[in-house]
Amino acid sequence: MTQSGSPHHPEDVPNSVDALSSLESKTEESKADLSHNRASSLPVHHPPNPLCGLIQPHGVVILAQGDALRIVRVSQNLESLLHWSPESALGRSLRDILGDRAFDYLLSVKPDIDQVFQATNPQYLPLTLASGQPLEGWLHWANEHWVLELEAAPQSSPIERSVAHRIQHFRSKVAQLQQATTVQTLLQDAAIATQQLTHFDRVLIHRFEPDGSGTVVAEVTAVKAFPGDGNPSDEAALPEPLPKLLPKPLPEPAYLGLRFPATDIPVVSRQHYARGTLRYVPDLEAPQVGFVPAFDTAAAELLRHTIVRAVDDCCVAYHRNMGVRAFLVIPLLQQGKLWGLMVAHHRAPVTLPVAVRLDCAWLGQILAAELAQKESQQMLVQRERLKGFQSEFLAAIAQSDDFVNDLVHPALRLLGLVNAQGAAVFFEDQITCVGEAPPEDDLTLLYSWAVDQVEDNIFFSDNLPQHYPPAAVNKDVASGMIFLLVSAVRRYAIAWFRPEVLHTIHWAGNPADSYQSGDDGSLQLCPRASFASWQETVRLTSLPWQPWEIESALDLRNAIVGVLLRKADEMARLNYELERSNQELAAFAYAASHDLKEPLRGISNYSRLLLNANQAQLDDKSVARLETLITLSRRMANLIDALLRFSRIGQAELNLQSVDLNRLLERVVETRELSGTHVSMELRIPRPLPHVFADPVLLSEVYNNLLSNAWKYNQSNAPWVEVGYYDANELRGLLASATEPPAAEPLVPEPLASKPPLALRSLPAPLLQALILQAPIFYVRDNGIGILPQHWDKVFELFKRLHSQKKYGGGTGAGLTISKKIIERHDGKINVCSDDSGTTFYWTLG
Amino acid sequence: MKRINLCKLRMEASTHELLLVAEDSDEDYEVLEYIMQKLDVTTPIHRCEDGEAVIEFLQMEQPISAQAPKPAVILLDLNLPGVDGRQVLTRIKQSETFQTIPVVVLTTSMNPSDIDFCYRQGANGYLIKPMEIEDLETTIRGFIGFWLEINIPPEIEMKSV
Repeated sequence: MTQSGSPHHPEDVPNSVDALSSLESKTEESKADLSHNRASSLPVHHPPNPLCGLIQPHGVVILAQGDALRIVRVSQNLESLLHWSPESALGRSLRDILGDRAFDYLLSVKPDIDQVFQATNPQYLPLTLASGQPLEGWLHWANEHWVLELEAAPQSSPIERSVAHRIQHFRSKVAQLQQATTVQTLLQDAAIATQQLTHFDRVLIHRFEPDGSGTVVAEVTAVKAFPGDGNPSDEAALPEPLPKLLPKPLPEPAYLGLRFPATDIPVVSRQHYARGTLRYVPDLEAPQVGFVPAFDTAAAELLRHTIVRAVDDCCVAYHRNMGVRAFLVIPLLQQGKLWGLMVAHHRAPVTLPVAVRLDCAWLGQILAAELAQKESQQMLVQRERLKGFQSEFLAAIAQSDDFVNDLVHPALRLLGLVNAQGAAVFFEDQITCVGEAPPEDDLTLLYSWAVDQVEDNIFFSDNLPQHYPPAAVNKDVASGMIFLLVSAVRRYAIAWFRPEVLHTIHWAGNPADSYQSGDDGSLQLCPRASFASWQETVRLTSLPWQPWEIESALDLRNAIVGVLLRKADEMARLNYELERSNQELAAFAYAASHDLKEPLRGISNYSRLLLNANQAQLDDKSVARLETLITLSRRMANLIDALLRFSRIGQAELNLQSVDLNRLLERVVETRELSGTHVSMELRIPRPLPHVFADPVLLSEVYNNLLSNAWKYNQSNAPWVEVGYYDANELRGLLASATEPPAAEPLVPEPLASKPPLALRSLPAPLLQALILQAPIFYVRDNGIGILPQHWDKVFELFKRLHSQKKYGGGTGAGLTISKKIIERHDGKINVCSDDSGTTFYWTLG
Repeated sequence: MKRINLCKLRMEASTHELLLVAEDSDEDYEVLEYIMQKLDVTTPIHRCEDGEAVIEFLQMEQPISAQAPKPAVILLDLNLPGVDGRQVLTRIKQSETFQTIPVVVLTTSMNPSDIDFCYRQGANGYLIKPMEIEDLETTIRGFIGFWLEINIPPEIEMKSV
């Protein structure tokens, strides 16, 4: 790991500390009693940077100002490259120092430096001095200064053969990367390629985690290839022998899989890397070089983006502890963000030609691009799978009328949408759970909390207890949650859950070791001494939710909302059509009442006029026929009235109120007596009737119709009619007896025992069960002529008569149809059951 | 004593009286006439076959004159061709001049919304045409007894325009 020499910014580090404190650590070492929470609350002191304004000795830095590029400051080692003492160079133009040829070249490059656009600042500037000496150079523009960095260019290098050869060499490595099938092999191949380019001992690839820490995801080491190091079979994998023998081997084993705390790479260094800047330190132990004149702290900012800037003590110590003497850091950028770092370590000082460094940078860019492609490919495969699944799901939802049951059946479909182990659908005050979900009481509270957390209708976390501590008791099912709010008004939401996954982070040393207590009790960032794996168990955390899973949940919401809206539209359209057809029906009913009856009245009236005025001229037969004509007209008129009544009951608004059925029945009987339609017969009411919620006028009509029928169709010597009801308890008793073996004596309550309810007893148990929900059941029973079973349904048909007009006093055949309509308007049902001992009508009122 | 006075009042008031019947059905009108004869109704009857005829007869669209007929009561069928009975009723009851004329509706419609509408518009009575002549006779007898014999019609004041 690297730590650059630039000054720490005090405001940068506490963020990293926060990232650390968010993890619940299992601390076993005494050092760890320095709790993370304390660390975040105490001020962190950074050591003053003594290397501020220094550079590494392998480079030379010249600062110049003005159009003439007059030298204002040079590094003390100027003479090592240019044969000018720093003092003699000050105040001169760069032209004097570099010679005409190199200077003119510099002038030609200068305009390419865009002072705002950092990608072109610095510009690479390979120079050749008048003496023919080649130099590697970079020209920066920083704070009104031109900053020229120079370092010696090697005359020859084993790697830097012909350009064509280098390109060929490089292309083969790129081709190898492109063949990688998985992200893991891609990373490994890139590490190998970098190792082969640099010949460094070890190459690591770090991937940054969301909390800023870095995990080593690939590692290649050349140590085993050393003579006498053991495994000779590995030697073949290395294309070229290492250039020199190395004094001490790097520590084994490797860092693969270890996690490095965020503090190991300060934010300032990350900012450098995010610019895509390579970090090259050929020898950590080499004495740093100052400037003439010396820098003060503020002016040293000019060096901030130089490639040769010095390495601070902390970083030196850190790497020394790792056994590293030289290193190269190649940033891996994805869409402008720092995905990770490729880090090459070497145990001895080394010089890496610029060409190799540029190759490595290029390799890093290719790796990042390939990574992006591979990752999106992997994501695409997963997403495609999910999409197929999802579209099937959404298609099913679109057909649905029940947004709770169709969501949770089959359960796997809902869970699979986001790869969850449990889910809960909240709808109004109902909660429906599938898979592994917290208990209902906890869910109710969770809903109240989560509904305030949603942003853009969703809240998700793979560490729910951290946001909502009560969730900790349900960690085994709900350490992770996606909460999708469909409609706050309807209290309609879906929550998916994932269980706790205990996972172990292998830290490269205790993260708390990054700090040491100062004398005043404050904390100081310090280099790490130990890189021994330090284990931490992460609790209350589930597998993370993937972006496409979140998207999938949001898609589901859109689908549900879309369907809801469409259904609302359909409903509005149906309502409109219904209203229109109701209006048409009303118009029809009016036409029927007036227009159909007018000619009938004419027929009837003319017949009457004939009978009255011309009776003398008519024989008996003609008189009888004219009278029949009048009777038929009247019947026709009655039919029309019945039809009208029927259609009005369908349309009229119910005048619902609490009705005392005892009083209602009294009035019906009274009215019948007054209108002379009452025939003497026994009315039995076994016990007082209940109060119901109904339209009293319409319900009276039902009783009137049923009593009429009971009276009409009765030839018994002692006719009676019984009016009563069964409540839910009695129905349950019936249900019990219905499910018992037939031989058993049914446990029927008193009113039922006296008169076995024939129809109810013959009902199948499930139907009876359903009836219990609608209890009470009302009935009107008689000892009349009965109805044959094949006619039970027909009696409710409009104008359907089972007997001729002459029998049983005639009638329109609409009474039962109208009664049925009235019951249905009350959301109830009516049924008939009969045998030769009589007929019973049963009904409910919704 | 009281009865004599009433009859005297009626005699004086009825000099210009007439019964206006709006009925489009010839059959219905024939039966009505038959019943009127049977009941010895002497009040002159004018029949209009549609709504427009009523408006024309009352000269509603002309300058008001003293010669304009002043029916003691209008017996109005609702279902008239063209301008129907409801419109005629509305027109009469919204006219400052004619709104005092009693209008009694005689119709087949038992539709509650029709009954409600007519009374709201200011109808003075609502009679249902029964199916049988005998029943119609009872209805008409009641009507004649009240509107043509007992009731005192308003004097239609002819305000100068």
